[in-house]
Amino acid sequence: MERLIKRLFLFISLFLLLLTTLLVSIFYLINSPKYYRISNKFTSIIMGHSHPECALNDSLIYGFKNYAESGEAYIYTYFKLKKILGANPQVKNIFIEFTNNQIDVEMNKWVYDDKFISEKFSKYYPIIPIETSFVFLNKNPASTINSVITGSVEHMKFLTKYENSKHVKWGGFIPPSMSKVDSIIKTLPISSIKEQGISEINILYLKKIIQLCKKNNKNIYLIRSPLHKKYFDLINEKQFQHTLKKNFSSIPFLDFSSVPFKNEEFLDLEHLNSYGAKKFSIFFKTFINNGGLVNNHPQNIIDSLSVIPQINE
Amino acid sequence: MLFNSYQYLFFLPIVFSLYWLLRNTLKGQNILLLLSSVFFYGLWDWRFLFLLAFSIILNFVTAIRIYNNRNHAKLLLVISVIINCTFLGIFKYYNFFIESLSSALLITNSSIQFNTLNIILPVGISFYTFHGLSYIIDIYYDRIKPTYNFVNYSLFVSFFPLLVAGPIERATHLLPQLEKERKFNYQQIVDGLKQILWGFVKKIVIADTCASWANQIFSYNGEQNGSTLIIGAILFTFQIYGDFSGYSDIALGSARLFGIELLKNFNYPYFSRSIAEFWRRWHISLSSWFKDYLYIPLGGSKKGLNRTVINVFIIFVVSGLWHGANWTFILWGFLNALFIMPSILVKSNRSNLEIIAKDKIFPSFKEGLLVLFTFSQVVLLWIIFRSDNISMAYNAIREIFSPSIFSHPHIFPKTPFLLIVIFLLIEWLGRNSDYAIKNILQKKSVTIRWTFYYILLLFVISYSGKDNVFIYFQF
Repeated sequence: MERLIKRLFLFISLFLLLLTTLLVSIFYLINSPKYYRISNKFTSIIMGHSHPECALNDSLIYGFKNYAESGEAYIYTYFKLKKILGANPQVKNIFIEFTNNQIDVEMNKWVYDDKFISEKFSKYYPIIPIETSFVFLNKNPASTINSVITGSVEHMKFLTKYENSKHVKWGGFIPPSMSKVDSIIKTLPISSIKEQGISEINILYLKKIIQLCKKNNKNIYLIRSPLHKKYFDLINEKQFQHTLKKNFSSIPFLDFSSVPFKNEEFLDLEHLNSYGAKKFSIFFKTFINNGGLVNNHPQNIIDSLSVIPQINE
Repeated sequence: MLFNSYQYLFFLPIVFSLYWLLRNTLKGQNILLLLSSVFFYGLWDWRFLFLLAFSIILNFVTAIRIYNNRNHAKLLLVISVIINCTFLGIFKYYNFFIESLSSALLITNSSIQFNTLNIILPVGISFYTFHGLSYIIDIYYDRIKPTYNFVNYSLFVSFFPLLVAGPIERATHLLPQLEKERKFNYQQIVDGLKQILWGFVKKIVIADTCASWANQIFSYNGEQNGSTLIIGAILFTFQIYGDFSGYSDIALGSARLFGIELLKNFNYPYFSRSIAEFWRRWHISLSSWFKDYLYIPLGGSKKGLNRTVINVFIIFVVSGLWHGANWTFILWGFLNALFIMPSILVKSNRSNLEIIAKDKIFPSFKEGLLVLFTFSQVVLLWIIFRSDNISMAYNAIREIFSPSIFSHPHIFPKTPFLLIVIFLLIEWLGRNSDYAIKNILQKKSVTIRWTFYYILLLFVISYSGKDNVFIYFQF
């Protein structure tokens, strides 16, 4: 019995040592700035979830990089942004998607639910501080441990892949080409009741993002991507406007939600498809070229551009 | 509680520690194992415990009555078998038979309708029912004396490593072990740990990896070409082997930690040179159960060739039906009987009793061809097993035997096939042992051996997280 206990103890200890060494190596190697450096031509970035991921084609806007990723809560956006700014001092303008569903209490699931931890924490844990990781471990230990393991495998694959100037694949424009709007509209409920809670953690990390940008003397803009007029989450519009005024009144808010798009330019009620994204990207570029970012009333420029036919055709 | 869960990783060491702390009291050890088994099973659904308890009490009492009352032994046996099979039949087959009967009556334009029941299939019912049946039949045939120790008998039926998905144990094999002292044996425990590790490799690395691709291919069955379906079939072939034999390895390994040896359930079936040999190596505990308790009582091969053929078909069809309430399982069983028939007719079904290329490195060319031929037959039959219905099975096989088998596959995942090759190499090297890694690198230093185990562990950890249920839980 003694022999077994000794052997087992030694076996497990050595294995844990091996695992720890592996994890620490991955942590150290993956944090190298060379994996986050982008070309100096990129001076503006957009971050957020699937709305900007589908809406802005960065290849059509010079100097613009899309880092948005579907299912991303602000906690991940914050740590991503910290890393990107650390490696890319040339970045001056940061656009952060801020839309109706991001204040919703449902967003808490995007932080601590199994599916999201498995997908996001596994990818970003090397850039998340230990104390924050312990919060994840506390809230959802099984998924957190699992995601560290599966994430480590992916990071190892990335580190060992032979490729000149490797760069982490963090989000980016994904253009869906279909449209399901007509069929969705047919099956919409007559009325929908939404829970009125606010996601404190999401708001907290949006505030941290803003503080980070200010600390680094970056221009930060909140942006709401185009939405279909029948988008059901607009039901919390009053709460959304209240949250915006209460917490982010000093930050320019670029509201593109009412820019007119046809049904066939939407994937669904909250995402543009590739046709809509092309049109919106040109619209956005025109907005910037018309001094939208430096104007004290950018919404006026958005509204005025919205009625110009050649931009909307 | 699944074997491949964090709960089991905590459960097993705790039970193991308490078990060997009680090493001076056999009664204490058995009670601990029984309570652990009740806890293990109750985590699935505590309501199932009542059915399990009923099965245990019924067979325990019946066995004693049969032994003490020889005049009515046969009657008691028949009643007990009927009750056991009725419960199994209701929970597992009622809806299937009702729906089949309704479909048949529909063809005759009958207006009679039957209602199906909203029944949950109790986990492991096929396995523990067969435990109980084998016990009372063995008592009837005087192969074993009944135990008057209710704890020991309950443990025999409900021992947690084998309760949910086998192996199907025999009272003659397991009960004596439960009734005598188990000594702490370092080598046996290390052996058990190694077998558990190998079981996890089979389940998590091989089976779950193959499953994700096989499921993808078969979910678009009607739209896949022949070459893609063959790839899906091969992946499923290794999925089901990795899944089931992996579970068995974890079960056998876990039992070894308590000084208990369970029946071997798999013996490298994919290295078989014939279908007959395959069935001597696949799910051994089930096929030997059917042989001993159905085939031989029906006369086996002792009543002429015609009767032998009928008995073989009966065994395989019943075996197919045991796997599930679907015509695909019955067809699968029937076709297995058909494929095995030539060897029975020429009386070569008892050849190839030893493992292929025993004490050699490579098989002969002829043996290699036979293995490939047998493997292809098995793969084809697994397509039927895997399909949701006969129509899906027919469409898949028709597509495979069409010119589309020569077209480019829609999906060809390299990773699972690479894993399969490595896995088969390890199985080949270890084919003379109970489980593949038992004696691998035994002559090498501790450093090399532990490095090998660490590599396996890292593979298990890196491939974990998919959380696929064991296939045989549904049986």
